Amino acid sequence: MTTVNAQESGPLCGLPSLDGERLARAFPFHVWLDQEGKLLCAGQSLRKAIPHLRVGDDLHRHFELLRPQGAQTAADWRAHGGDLCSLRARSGTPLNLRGSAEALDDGSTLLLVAPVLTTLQDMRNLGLGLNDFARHDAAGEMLMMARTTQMSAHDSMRLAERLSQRTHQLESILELSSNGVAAFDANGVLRHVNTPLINLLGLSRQALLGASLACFETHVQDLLAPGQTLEPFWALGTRSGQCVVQLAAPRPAVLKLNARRGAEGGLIVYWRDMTAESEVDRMKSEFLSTAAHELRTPMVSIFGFAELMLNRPLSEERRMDVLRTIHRQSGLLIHMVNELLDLARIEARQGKDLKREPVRLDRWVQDSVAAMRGASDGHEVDLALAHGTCLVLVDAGKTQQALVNVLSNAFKYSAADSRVVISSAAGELAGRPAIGLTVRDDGIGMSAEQLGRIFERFYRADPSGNIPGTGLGMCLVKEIVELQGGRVDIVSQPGEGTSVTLWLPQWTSTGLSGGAASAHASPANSAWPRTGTPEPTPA
Amino acid sequence: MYGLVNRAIEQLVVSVKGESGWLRVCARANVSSDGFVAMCPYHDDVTFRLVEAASAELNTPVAQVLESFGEYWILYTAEEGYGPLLEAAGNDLRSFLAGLNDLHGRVENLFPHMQLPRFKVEDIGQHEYRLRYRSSRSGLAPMVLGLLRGLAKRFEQTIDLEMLTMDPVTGEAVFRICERMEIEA
Repeated sequence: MTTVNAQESGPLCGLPSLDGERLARAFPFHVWLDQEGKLLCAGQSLRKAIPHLRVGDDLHRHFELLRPQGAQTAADWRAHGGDLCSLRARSGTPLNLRGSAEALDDGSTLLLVAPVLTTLQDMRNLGLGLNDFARHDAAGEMLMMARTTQMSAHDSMRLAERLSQRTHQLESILELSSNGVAAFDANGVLRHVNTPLINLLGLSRQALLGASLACFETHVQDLLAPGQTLEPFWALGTRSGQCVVQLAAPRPAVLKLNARRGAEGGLIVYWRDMTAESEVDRMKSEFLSTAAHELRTPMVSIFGFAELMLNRPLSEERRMDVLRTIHRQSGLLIHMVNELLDLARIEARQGKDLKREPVRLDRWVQDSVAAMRGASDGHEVDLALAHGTCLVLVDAGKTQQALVNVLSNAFKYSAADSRVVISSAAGELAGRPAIGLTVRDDGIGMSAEQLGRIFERFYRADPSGNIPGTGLGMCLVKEIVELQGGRVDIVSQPGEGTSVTLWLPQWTSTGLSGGAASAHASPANSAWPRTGTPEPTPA
Repeated sequence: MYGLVNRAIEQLVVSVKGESGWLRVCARANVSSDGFVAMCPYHDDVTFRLVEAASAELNTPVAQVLESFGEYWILYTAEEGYGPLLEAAGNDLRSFLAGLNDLHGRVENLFPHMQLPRFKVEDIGQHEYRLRYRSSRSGLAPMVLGLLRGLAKRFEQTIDLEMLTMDPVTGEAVFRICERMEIEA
């Protein structure tokens, strides 16, 4: 063996030689052939894979020669030169060997070959382990790599499936949300838009998906109410900001926008429809302002007259007059506060404190009329109750308050001594029997515009102040009737009077839900809707 | 650590506590439950957080979780992915451990980011030897106990196993393994 001293300078051209043992270790699958192509020796690992190899066996008995094809003698191998040699084992052994053939000086041939394996299982099928390969042989790594590639493919499929499920999940979440979402990629292309946003903007998904950010902003800009401007979404997202915009189309709406840049450089814009909230806020402010104004009017009167009595000597007649005014105004004040409290309580309880029970219509109406006797101002009340013996399922006390309010309006807005008629009719509410109780007067009536505002709080058809009232009565009527599953209908013409019909659920002999009648029905077991305004239909 | 380790933790937790348990572990560890790519390297901290969260979910000390994980790794995860490789790496525990550095050497050639531990087998007597374990990561020695138990089960061998020493700073540990031979009646 030639020894190369690394310390010596010069080209690295020394050639080592390997003795038999070292060669066997370096090439555990080698094959050594004599001049006739008979086996002289084979590597230990090859003998492990093909145990029946014997000295003197013809190579062709155990292997099919693919390259050089059909080589028999040393001369054939020598002619093949340094080209690739390839052998395939016979007798079903799944072993392919590849390498080179070296012609030795003594005329023999040394095949320096190693197995070609594609799977670890192939290796195990040959009865081989990693230790059967030379340390410099990368077969083990190749097999590991092949296995890893296979595993990675499975892994990719597993993760792709999981990602797909997650995507469906998120899409469902976004679709079920009542708020809109638009997602743009890093290039500003709209990649996702959910149905709530489509509905908010009244645009088609096909028109939006794939649109550029600028194009989308133009779409939205076109929908804005006059005077509204839109902050560019990209800038809004970069500062993770929010803004409120008002739309004029496809319907007037107030939208709150939150925008945020995604980790991948994209942009998410979240849209919340605040129209209802804004309307509630506006109504609350308006209510507070109106309530304060309405309460202030009698209080100013009380304060002024009280001050007059304190600071000036008054005749007895004048003093009584002032006291009567103070009494009247404070009574109005108390009445207004009581009605406000009633409204607040009814709205807060949402009908939970109503004690509904079957009530005979005629007796209940007569009681209500009797309660108004002192305030009838000379009006005659005619009762024309064709369904007087019918039972209605109501809270008698609360519903009487509603009827009294309607009667009170009929008295106040019609001439003294005129007639007010209370009649009944049969009909249906949401497919169930109902009784309509109509209070008709021949008074001043209302225009369509006045009729449209009749249930607004503090709305007075007569703003002159000559007719006393709080403007809360009809709100109470509506709340009380609708919370019991009923409905209020009003028909009116200026100068021709007004008809107010309270549709109330009827209690029949078979009960409300078709079952046996019960003496006391409670709201909990009632099949009648507790809220909402079912459409009455004449029977 | 490569994703396949985290994936194995997921499989272990799911096998004991189901998918819902795994979701709770991820939430506790502040790790996404979207899944791990087996051959993608992740920060070691992710693995340690998952182990701690699994410890809380399974109501088991961290060392015990690591040991269970080691055994689970050999018997299920590695078996599922690299069963033939394990088979090719040895026919019994002693020969497998002796060739483990070679095996790890080949793996490191393929995946340069992997930092695999080193092992050294020192014979004490017949069927009895010490295993020296050294790793760039500390705190994983209990996992080696589980790995050894799993390997013994895999090779259908009965062993006595104890951890002789463990350096809490360097993470180096020495184990004594005694293979019990079945005596035929």
